[in-house]
Amino acid sequence: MPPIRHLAAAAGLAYLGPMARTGPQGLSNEELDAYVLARLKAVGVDLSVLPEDDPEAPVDRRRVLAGARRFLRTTPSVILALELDPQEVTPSLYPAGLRASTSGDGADG
Amino acid sequence: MAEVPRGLPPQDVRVDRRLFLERVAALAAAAATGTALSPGTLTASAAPPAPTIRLPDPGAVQSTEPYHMSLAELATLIRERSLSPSELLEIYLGRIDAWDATLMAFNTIVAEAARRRADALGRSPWSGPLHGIPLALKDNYYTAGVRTTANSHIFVDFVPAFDATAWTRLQDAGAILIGKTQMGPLATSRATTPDGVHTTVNAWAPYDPRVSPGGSSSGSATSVALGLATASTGTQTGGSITDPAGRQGLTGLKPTMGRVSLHGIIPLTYTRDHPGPLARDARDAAIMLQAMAGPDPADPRTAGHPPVPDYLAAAEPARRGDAVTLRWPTRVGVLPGYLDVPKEPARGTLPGRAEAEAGARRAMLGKLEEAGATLVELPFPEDWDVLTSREFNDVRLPERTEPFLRYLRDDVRLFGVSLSPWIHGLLLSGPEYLRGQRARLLLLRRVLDAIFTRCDVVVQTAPIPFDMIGLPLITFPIGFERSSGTDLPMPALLGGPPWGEERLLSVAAAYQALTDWHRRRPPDPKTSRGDAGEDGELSKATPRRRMDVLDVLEEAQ
Repeated sequence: MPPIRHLAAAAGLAYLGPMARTGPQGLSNEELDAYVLARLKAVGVDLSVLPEDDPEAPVDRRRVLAGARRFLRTTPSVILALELDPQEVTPSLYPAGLRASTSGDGADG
Repeated sequence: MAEVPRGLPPQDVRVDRRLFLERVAALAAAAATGTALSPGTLTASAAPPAPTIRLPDPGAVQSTEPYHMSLAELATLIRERSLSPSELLEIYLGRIDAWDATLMAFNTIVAEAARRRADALGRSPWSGPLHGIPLALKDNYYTAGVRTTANSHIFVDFVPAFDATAWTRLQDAGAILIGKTQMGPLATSRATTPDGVHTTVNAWAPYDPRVSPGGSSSGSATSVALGLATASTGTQTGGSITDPAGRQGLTGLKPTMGRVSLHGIIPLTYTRDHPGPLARDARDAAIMLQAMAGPDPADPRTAGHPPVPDYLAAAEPARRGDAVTLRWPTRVGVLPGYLDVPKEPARGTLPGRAEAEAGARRAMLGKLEEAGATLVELPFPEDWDVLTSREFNDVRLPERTEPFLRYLRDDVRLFGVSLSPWIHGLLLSGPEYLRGQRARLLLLRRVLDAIFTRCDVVVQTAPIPFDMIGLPLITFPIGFERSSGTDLPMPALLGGPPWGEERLLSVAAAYQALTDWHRRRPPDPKTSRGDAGEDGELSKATPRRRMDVLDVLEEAQ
């Protein structure tokens, strides 16, 4: 990752180019399935109650895992490829709550 | 119609839009960190001005059948005591009995409670435009003592102990609950059973379930379109008001994030859920929003907004001499490709539909120019395609998963056909979620800087970008086309800056004063409940199909 001072000095807010998209493209289906099932097990979610592969059922393990693999192969890497200046668009606590509790009438705008 | 002068400028130019940026940042931070925004720090905004209601003259009521009338027209008749709330209610109940077996718009009808309330309101002094008006509520709004299912196994027996704030306000304004409407399970797709079998159909194609009614507020749209209720409520996280309203010839309004309380509504995404109305025209939508909007101590997201303005005045068509004119000088932003026929139409688009839509959009812009609008060609904000992509839209999913984690642990089968997005919410890491939240702020900043410094409303072709950043949207019909063999409405979708509801309503109202698309109603189905199974249209109808977990993923709101 580029050093923070490099990012802060660069013009503009979004850095779509320099960050190489990394992700699980090189991982096999089996590896991704193992990751998904382990993650779910870690938080107490159990897919084994679903049918393994039943085209007549609205949902089965095969299709849930296929959707999860597709998600993991695209979404995280696209999101992380957007590099943002740490000095910009920072999440911050909404100031109106403090203003409402100190200004007396709470009216805004 | 009101003669211009226009009075105060609309709220979108009277308040600091950067305030909204701060609000979204705060919501993102609260969602990301789990920080509670304490209701104890909230106080109500300054008292709003009394809304201006100018109902049509009784002689100007254009429809002959009450079930085809607009809310404003019905309010006129009720105020004049030409029609009682009980008479109106019975008309709707009769139509529900006749047609809802075909339409499947409702989950629950509360006929007896509605009759008692209509009777009481009929003996009360007229209190405003919603007095005695029967409404349909999406089945994710809490209704005290009435089952609230969200079409999900999870809530199949859920009977709330209190009403959603938005519904309380509509009741306080005199509305009557006629029933709870079908929806996509947990507000995801078009309406289905929890296991994915299509239920609600489009009122314009009741025998062809392949024609989507729009989702997820499907029953809310169908019930109003066919005249089973006067207006309805919906919720929108990814198009769920504007999509069904647009597909069924209605005017749907998704307000600015936080303008309407979410307290007592089953959550889908804390920082993206928006309650709002589905109605027959801009004036009806204004009447509904006027009642629904405002601060709620039980919902911190409603704090810190400017006072609720006079939406009814905004939706009053204005005239200069004999000409319909926009209430305020308005620049309409037109983004690249809006009038083009896409080379690759959206999934499920029938041949010919895209060409018809392009023509209708061009004609709509011409009408707005006729009303005095200035068209402004705009480029997309920088990185628009990336920041509004499916992957950045996925950032909403952990917010979806968190409140339902106990149900996921109990039994994933409770989620039926909608399971996958809740699983994906567990697969996004903290840094990825935070990066996505910051990207939303970047998108909002760029929309404010690149679009709303140059125009007052902007055309949109899909709701997702403005749903991501909490900005208001309005949809209204701009034509019909027959690519599916039946007349289907074509909608416009316009977006506004923070608190731009007045402006959006004023634009839709001016357009509707110059056109009559919003006055068209679908024909009643040819077969009623009693004829089902005989040699009628029902027996020839395409069977309702079942969606599977991957179909829902494609449609997910």
